[in-house]
Amino acid sequence: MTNQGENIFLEVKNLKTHFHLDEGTVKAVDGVSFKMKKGKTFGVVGESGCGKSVTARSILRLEEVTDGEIILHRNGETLDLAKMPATSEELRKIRGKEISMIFQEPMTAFSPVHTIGSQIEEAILLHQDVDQEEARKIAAEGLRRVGIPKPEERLDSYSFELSGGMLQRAMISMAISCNPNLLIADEPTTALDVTIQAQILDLLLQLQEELGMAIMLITHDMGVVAEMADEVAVMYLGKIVELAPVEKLFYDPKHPYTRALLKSIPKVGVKANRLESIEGMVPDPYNLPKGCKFHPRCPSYIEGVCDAAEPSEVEIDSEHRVSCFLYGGR
Amino acid sequence: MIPLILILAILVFIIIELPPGDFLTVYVEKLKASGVMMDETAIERLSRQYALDKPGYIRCYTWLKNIITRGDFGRSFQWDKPVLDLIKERLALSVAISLFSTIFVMTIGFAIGVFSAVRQYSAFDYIFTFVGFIGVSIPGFLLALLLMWFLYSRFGIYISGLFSPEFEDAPWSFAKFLDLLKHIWLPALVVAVSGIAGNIRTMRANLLDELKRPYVMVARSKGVAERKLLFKYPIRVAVSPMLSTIGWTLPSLFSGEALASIVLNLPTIGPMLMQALMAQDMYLAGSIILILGSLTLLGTLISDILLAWADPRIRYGESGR
Repeated sequence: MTNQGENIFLEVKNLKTHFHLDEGTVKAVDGVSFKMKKGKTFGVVGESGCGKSVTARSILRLEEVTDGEIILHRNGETLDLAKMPATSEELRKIRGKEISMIFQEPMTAFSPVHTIGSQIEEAILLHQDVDQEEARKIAAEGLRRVGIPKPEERLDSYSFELSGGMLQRAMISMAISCNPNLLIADEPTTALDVTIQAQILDLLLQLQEELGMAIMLITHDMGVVAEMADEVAVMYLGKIVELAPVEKLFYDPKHPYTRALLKSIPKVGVKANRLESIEGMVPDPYNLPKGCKFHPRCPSYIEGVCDAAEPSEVEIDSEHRVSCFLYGGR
Repeated sequence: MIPLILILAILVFIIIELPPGDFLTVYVEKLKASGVMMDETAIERLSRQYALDKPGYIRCYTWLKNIITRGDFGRSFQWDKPVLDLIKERLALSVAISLFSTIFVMTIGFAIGVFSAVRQYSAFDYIFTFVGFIGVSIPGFLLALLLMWFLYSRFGIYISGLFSPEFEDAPWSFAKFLDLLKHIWLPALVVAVSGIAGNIRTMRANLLDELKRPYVMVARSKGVAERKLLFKYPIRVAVSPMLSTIGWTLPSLFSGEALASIVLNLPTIGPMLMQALMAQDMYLAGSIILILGSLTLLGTLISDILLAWADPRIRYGESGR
């Protein structure tokens, strides 16, 4: 692969996060591998329930990881986050400082009985050597940086006093308050309306330029990915089915699922009676199909092949890989 | 709050007046039963003396006026003493027991509830869920009887009363106070059991709900240590409903205390209230109910203030989202 070595910040190898429930085992993330480069945006797309959010939370060990490695590159050293106990101090020093996260729903992401300020200051006090007063100044500066008017007053507000867009900005400001190397943004705009979505995404890009952080952007919106990402992973039922630089993914998609996803974006100016959709339903997670998990919905399904075994990964070129029997992988 | 107490006082008076007859009829009946006949004039004289010949609203007004202007709650027919002298000490003991019970309910219920939620489905959780259900369903007086029997038959300890015999009639002193502390925990615990059990359930359920909230994971993603996180966020939020229950646990504590006191033979206000009601000793009964009612209102006020202090959503008159 090109661009290897120095540029890589985080490497995920064969990550598995399984949930053992009464109804059976859900393999939410089942053998996912990817690399994230410094200062670049890594997009993860897929339908609801494909495991993209669980992947994100697993990186910070907010979910119990079943297997795999999460390797952090720091000044030539490597650290495996998956090996650290989930409550260890080592890991807590990485959370919020080197890797921080923006969550889906800003309304519920803040405690209702603490001020916004106290929750942002908490992160600053944990990771920076400052006193309460300085932390407050940094927090106010952070709110100004994300475009919140009257930041000093907002610090003393409670979450129920602010709108969704304001809260999402506040959460971004909380996540970047300690200048992380990687910002995981889990559907940062899903709960917001379209005009605010655009503002938030612009803000993220602008902050990325200023701070040089890597962004892992999780979304189900192909348009957002096209605009933001440098590299994109397409997930389906806990696995990455295709991984490519953004131009290649959009102009030369290989996997039938990626193609179907791209087709389902409505196009401006083209009048269609019905929106394109992917046939069938996401299978029941307790009762997954044999072979390739996408075969019951796949237009290129090959009988006796796709339902017999799972395809292994095929390298189309050094930076484009796909898991599909159409390209080998038998 | 003040108007509420006034309404309460009038209601109390009406309810006490409702049963047919009054103290005199009961008194005369009792005398008749023991063979003494009273003539009409004597009864009328007594009736005038106690102002029982005046209409209800006038007596109600006089009673209230005397309470407000002179702190005089009237005279007990039965004991022929001012009500206040009769109930002072007993009331203090009742309040002491209820106070101890409230403390037990808050601390023990809170601690076990938190532990049960954090270690959900552990042996500890199962044991206290079981104990909790029994605690909620067992009546206080039955528990008092069982405890009394158990401690006496097993250890020969006779738990009755609030004082050791040598202090029973002694004037108040520090030694008597210590003696009281030695005795008070058991009745307080008996009264508190159902409250504790209830609080274990409430706290456990609330905390389990809060632990799943996104803000807990957000705090974790910032690198907050697990124990600090637990106390700062979910417990803090889960405690609000518990605070709001203080208000309505007070009345149930008072009534539970009355039953337990009758069984355990404690010199508190509960048994006296029952006697007064049976004898239609109206000023005594009315005053006790009025005072307990006012204390309950006070409790509710305190719990509201606590709640507003703990939860900004209430302070700002917002229902939250």
